[in-house]
Amino acid sequence: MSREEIQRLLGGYATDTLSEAERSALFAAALEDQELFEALAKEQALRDVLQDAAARQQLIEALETKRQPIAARAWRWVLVPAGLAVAVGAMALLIVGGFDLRRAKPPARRQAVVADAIALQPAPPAPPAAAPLSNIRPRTAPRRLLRLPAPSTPEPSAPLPPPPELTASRNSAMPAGALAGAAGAAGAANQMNPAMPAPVLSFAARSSAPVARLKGMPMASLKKAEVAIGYALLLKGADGLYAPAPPGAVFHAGDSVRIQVAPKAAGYIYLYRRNTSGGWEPIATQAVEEGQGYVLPAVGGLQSDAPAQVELLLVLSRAEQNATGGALAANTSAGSLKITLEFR
Amino acid sequence: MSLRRKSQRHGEYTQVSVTDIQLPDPEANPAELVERKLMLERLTQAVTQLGDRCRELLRLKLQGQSFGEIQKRMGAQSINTVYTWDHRCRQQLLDLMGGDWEADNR
Repeated sequence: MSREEIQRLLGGYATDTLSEAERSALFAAALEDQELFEALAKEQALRDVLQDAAARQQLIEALETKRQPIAARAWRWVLVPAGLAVAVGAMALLIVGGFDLRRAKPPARRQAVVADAIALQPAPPAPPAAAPLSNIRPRTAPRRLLRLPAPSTPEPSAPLPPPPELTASRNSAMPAGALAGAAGAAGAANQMNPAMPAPVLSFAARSSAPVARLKGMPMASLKKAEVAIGYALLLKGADGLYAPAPPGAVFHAGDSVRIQVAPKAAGYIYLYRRNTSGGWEPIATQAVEEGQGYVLPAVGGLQSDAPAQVELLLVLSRAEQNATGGALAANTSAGSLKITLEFR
Repeated sequence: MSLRRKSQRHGEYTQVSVTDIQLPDPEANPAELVERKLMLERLTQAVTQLGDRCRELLRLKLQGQSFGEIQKRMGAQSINTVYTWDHRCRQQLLDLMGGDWEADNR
């Protein structure tokens, strides 16, 4: 018996299948072959198990159990990759769906911003000799208005207007240098020039949603506005004209600030300033029409000689109120807007 | 002198207490029993995955038949053929058990 043949006898050792001659040949070869000897030693563990008759019987029963037919085994091999493929496909769908959702969100947000941002309406051609009634300086940058927090429960009585197109240029509608100081027009209504496109309501705020913190603007906070009031801050420049304060502008002591408001509804706007005693002091009152722009105060501006926080309150009431008390009393029922200016 | 020899003969000074003698336990220790049980389970699982020839060969081996008898039962031309089959089947079974009879290396 050759050495290779003897090595093949290894499988018979554990099961006690070897004849006496085969066992002797295997042991003799193992004494001369270290590798075979170690393999034989490892077989001892299997031999110990198979020495037990019960274990032997258990294995025999397992071996007598009929194997699954080839078709069933093949089907199992098909099912495993199929299951994997389904899992991978579902995962890919989730990932692709997630990307689509993420891609779909920004346009919706942009649309809301467009709808709520200033959105200049195409203005009718301005008459060349339009009377300058406002002291708003023409600007090159689009107006930046603020948006109140979105309503949590929309009121059924106030559907939002569709967002206007952003095609019209503000400059084209407003003649340059046509605006004079409002001081000269103190007695007149400070309604803006009809030729100048009125600031479109930029606020969809129709709820008593909590205060929204606005970034990039000098004001600190807004309060509830049950009736929409849009506003922008105007800063008096070195040329004496008021222009919209750029985003992030910092007011300094001595700066003169006005507020351009655009009420959603017709009524009366009251502007208050908190005095040192903590009460509200009326500054300006203005009868307003829906969708028109107004500048408050019409005369002078809001100033602070020292670094301080100036708290303002805009109240829009549909009915005329007593400026000293009536409007404030109606604060809860009419629209109101709290603005804080910080002078540094 | 004779008295001393007599006492040695009677084992008076060479007695050992039966409690001091350690007798081998014919039963395997619990750890070994558990290992064998686990190995048997793995072995049972592995043999079901063998091919038909290997299953038949192993079944005959476990039934106590010699290679010569197996040759006749399986119709092999020579006993060397049975040796070869057995060698391959053993290797296949070993692979199915992770390369070692005892440890689960899979």
